[in-house]
Amino acid sequence: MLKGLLARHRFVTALPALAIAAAMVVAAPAMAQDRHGGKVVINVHADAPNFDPLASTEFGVHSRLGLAMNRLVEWKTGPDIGYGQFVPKPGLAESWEISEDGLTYTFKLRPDAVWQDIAPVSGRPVTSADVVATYEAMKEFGVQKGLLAAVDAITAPDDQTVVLTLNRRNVVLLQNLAHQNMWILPVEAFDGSYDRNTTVIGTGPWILEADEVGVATRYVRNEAYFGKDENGEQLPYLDEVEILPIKDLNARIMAFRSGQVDIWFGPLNMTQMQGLQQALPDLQDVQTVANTQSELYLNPSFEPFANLQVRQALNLAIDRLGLGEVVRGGGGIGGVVGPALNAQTLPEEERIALYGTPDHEKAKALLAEAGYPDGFSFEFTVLNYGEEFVREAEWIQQDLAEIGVTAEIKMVDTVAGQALGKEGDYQAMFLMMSPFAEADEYFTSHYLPGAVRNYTGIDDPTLTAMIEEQQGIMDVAARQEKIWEIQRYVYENVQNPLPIWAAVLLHPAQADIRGWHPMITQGFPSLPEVWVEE
Amino acid sequence: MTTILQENAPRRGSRTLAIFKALLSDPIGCTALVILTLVLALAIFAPIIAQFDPLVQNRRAILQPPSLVHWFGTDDIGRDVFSRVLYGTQISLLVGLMVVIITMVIGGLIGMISGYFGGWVDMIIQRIVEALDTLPSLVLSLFIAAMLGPSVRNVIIAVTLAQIPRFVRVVRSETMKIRGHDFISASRVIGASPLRIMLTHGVPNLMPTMLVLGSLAFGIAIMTEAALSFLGVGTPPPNPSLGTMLSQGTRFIGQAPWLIVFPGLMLTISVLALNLIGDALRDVLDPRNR
Repeated sequence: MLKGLLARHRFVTALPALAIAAAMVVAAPAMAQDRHGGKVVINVHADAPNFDPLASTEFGVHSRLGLAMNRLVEWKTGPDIGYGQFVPKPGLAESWEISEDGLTYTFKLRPDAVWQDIAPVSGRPVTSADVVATYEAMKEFGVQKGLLAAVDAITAPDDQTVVLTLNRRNVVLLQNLAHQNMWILPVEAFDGSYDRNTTVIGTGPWILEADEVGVATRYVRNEAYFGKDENGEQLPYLDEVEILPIKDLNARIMAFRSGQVDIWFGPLNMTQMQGLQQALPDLQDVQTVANTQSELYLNPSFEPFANLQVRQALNLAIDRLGLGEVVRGGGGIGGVVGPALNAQTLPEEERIALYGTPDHEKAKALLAEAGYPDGFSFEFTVLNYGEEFVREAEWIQQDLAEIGVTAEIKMVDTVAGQALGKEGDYQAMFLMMSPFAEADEYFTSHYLPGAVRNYTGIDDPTLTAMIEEQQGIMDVAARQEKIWEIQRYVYENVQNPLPIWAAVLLHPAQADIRGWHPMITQGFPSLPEVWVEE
Repeated sequence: MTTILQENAPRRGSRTLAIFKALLSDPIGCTALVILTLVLALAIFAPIIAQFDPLVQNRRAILQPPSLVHWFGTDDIGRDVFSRVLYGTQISLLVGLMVVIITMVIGGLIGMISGYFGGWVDMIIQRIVEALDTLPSLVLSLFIAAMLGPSVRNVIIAVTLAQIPRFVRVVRSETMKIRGHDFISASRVIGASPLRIMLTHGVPNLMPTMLVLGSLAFGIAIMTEAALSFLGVGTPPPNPSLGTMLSQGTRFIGQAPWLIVFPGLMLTISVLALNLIGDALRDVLDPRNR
């Protein structure tokens, strides 16, 4: 009996232990997975003709360099950061100070940043001499020259400090330094110690191990990388990254469907995406708004378009939200500053109120006031950016027809169209704007007299003054207000070109990929914090 | 193809009637003629038959399948597909007809000149024709259309230029056969000018050949226009074109197959009918069948 009692006692006393063990077994899957390890494959639909960042702006080059190199200032990434939203993050510069007059920028370099262990640099620490050499070379002969135009001098008081002295205030300098082409190279890249066309030595999260043109570019983890995640864990998470240069779209689609590619990069439309979703129901449908938008230029040399009321009438005629939903299947309503720059563009509600609320009766009234009660006809030059873009033009054509304005579509290829725009040889032109990463780029390219995209000959002294003023406002919030003020001014007083729509960009990833946040800037800045879920 | 040469060709009207009657008595020719007549009727009477303006978008009826309201459904911006097929066929037939007429006139004239005069005239013309012939006709048309820009007029020019070499070669060959005959020599002796000889004797004797070539060229022209529009250098938007409709419909092939089926069917039927008529004409006009 005693034995039975003891046996029962042991069983009873063992119960809690058993319960705890059982709970641990049940809870084990819920414990945090070690994110380190694994490999991710990305497609980039171009080879890199060389690896010299000063010689090229090609995305094939800079997409690859971004995995192995760093900039002084980087783009912060994360689920709360918009695709086109620039939030400066320390890169090789651990911190920086800007003088009150905005003419001196002092950067303190990371003491723990070292070059990759590749000869002749061989893993030595990064010093200010490297930054100075890189920026001097860029100013002298690099494709990045314009980004440092405001910089008069680059000096290094000590090994860990770099000082940029400006000849004028440049409120976008930090963003310029974080530009996708602004990789920092070692001094040895400029004194002939190695050929930067063929050898990549950086400080980035991965080391470029091999590049087989037309086959693959392979990277392995850089154990000496300075980056850490928010918990202090060493980055990158991934052991390996591979870039496949699949140029043919259908081949890329097949590679993604078969699981050969983990993260999609490059053009993909909604119909193709739906096909992928049918084949891979669990894939991650990551969408952002494109950093380009379609725009309708109205040439004031064609008499009706010289009248602001006529331009306002056309603006009121176009059903942009319908266009976006039906033709593009998503995206964002256009603005003076494109919607991808979600912090700098006008708030969406306001953009919808200004551009997304068609009113045909009011449009007709404006036309009548302007002296065109029966409407008018014009030649509608449409640059051939593809079927969906042409569909946008057809949609707009019908909208205008409903207020009595007849648009005769004339298709031209993109090169010819740009030439017509520069010469002013058109009545109305519909085109896709170049991608911009800063509001200032929109303003200076569209509205300054003689600017490269000022196809409508805008020369408004008030507007010019406002644009120049915002360039010198150092306070972020104050500058933001000014940027919005400029957009409202353009709406009220210029109304040219008419922003239409920014399409949706698709960046699908396989179901097991975590931490993927695509950004406007090239080089996959969020990749160090991407991991593969088991 | 063998042609019976006639010194005094019968009056054109009675000959044409005879050809027509012979065509009707051929089952395949008759069927093809009926089909082509139907297609022509649909195209000509499109403004009456079509229920909707082919350009107007009904935004409450996007990608609707075929129904009693929209017989062939609607496209991705709500346009009636049946109306667009009718008007697209109109454009295709117009292009085909213009190409054939211009090609027959220009190609026929150049071919006759080349074949009649021979010598260095023939040599120069044939070298140019051979140079053009080395390029596939679609590639040549594409190149010309891309250079000129998208428009119906430019499509006609592009397709015509690509088809002329074929006409020139055949007409030249037939003209050379005719040239050596006695009645031609006799005409020269009595003082007839080369132009009179070509018009009086050349054209009537060449007409059967040209008819066959013309019917085949019609079909080729329609297909080429569709191909150019498919590639974006043909009929410009928003005008309907069977080729453009096929191109735009490929994006929705899974969810809206009617965008491809109906224009494709119309294209197939039209070209098939023309080819069958060409075959039937060739059989009818072959003297070995008499």
